[in-house]
Amino acid sequence: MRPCESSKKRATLCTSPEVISFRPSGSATPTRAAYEHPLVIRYTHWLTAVSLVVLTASGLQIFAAFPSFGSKVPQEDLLTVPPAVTIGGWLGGALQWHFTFMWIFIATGAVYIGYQIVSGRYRMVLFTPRDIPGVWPMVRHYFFFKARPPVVEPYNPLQKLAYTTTVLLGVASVLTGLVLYNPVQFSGLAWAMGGFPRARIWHALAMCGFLAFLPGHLLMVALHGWKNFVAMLVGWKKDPEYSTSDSPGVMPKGG
Amino acid sequence: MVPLDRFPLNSYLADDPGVDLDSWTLRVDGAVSAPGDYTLSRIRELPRVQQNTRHVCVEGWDVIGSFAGVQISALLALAGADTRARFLTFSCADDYYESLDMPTALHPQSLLCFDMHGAPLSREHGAPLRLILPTKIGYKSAKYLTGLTVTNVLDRRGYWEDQGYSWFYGL
Repeated sequence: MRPCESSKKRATLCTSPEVISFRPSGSATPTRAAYEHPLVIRYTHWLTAVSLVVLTASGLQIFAAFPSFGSKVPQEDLLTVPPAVTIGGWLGGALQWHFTFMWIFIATGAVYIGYQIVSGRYRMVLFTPRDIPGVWPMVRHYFFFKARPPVVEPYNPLQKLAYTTTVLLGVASVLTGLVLYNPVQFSGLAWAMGGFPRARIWHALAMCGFLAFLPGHLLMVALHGWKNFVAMLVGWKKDPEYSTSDSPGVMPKGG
Repeated sequence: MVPLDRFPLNSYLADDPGVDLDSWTLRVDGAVSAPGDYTLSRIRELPRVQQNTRHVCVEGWDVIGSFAGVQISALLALAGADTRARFLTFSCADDYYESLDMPTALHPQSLLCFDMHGAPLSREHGAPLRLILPTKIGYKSAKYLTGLTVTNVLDRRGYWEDQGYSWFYGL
């Protein structure tokens, strides 16, 4: 990590992956690669991914026990949860899955946030007010196929917004989940959320937020190539598109 | 508070296990100095406690009801229970069963409930005596009680707990 120029107008601290050049044995031309994702980030990314799948599927099974946000009497079901998207088999099983992966999700999230803060890497992905003007041009680029705004930072404003939102969704999931888990011990928190039944609604909305993030995330990874996916597996990205011979460059797009 | 006619019934078997209310007694045994069959009138002589508390179901719904009864701790004192024992187990008129840790049983809001919304418990709500445990998930508040045992050994934990629900499940 080192300070780098993230903007011609304003020098700010950011981090960027180191690009190295090496010559594989038997090859005449040098290969360039960058170490994009440290081990902690890769582990927490995939643990979170698995946790979210299990928490969503078991959460849907739990919701199936009382698929409503209204009163119990009379009960008006909101939807019928297809068994194919559930984990746990029944309410009791799903609760055990949910409460197990709840701890994994919380611990993983705590490690991720702690690492981002201590390492300073949060500066690359944290959405701040100065990113606001850059959101609309990126939306025009992605959704209306306009020209790509100039690359000035490791992650573009829309990416920052998406990633920062997922962290907030994670925090919201945990806080609302704690209220559902122990509504008496966390009665103050329950009150702040408008009561136990409302906390259930907020908890479900947080899940919807994750479900909304997922298709866009997967589509961007697919559009920006296999090596983005590989980089989140092994850390290294071969031939990073953002580097030139005289500058280490900045973090890549996509994902 | 939810009106009585909108208070949910989640009896797992029947709404009415056919308790003979006239001959009903609560059998108290285990680590107690005065084991025996306690009549409802004897239980009603203990200090009455009335509380409006929330009942939270594991399914995800909750209701607030008005419950009256006596503290479990009052009956334990009457029966001379050894409160150093770890557990209370409860049997019911149907084949439901439950168990509690002693600290939960001694909680001042943990009731042996006989009145609900100002009237004696109806059959579907657990007549003549049920548990009301505001610090615990709903399925711990067993209905149609017939027996209470003070013990250090749990042969079985609870009808739902033995199928995978949490035993402690404090709220």
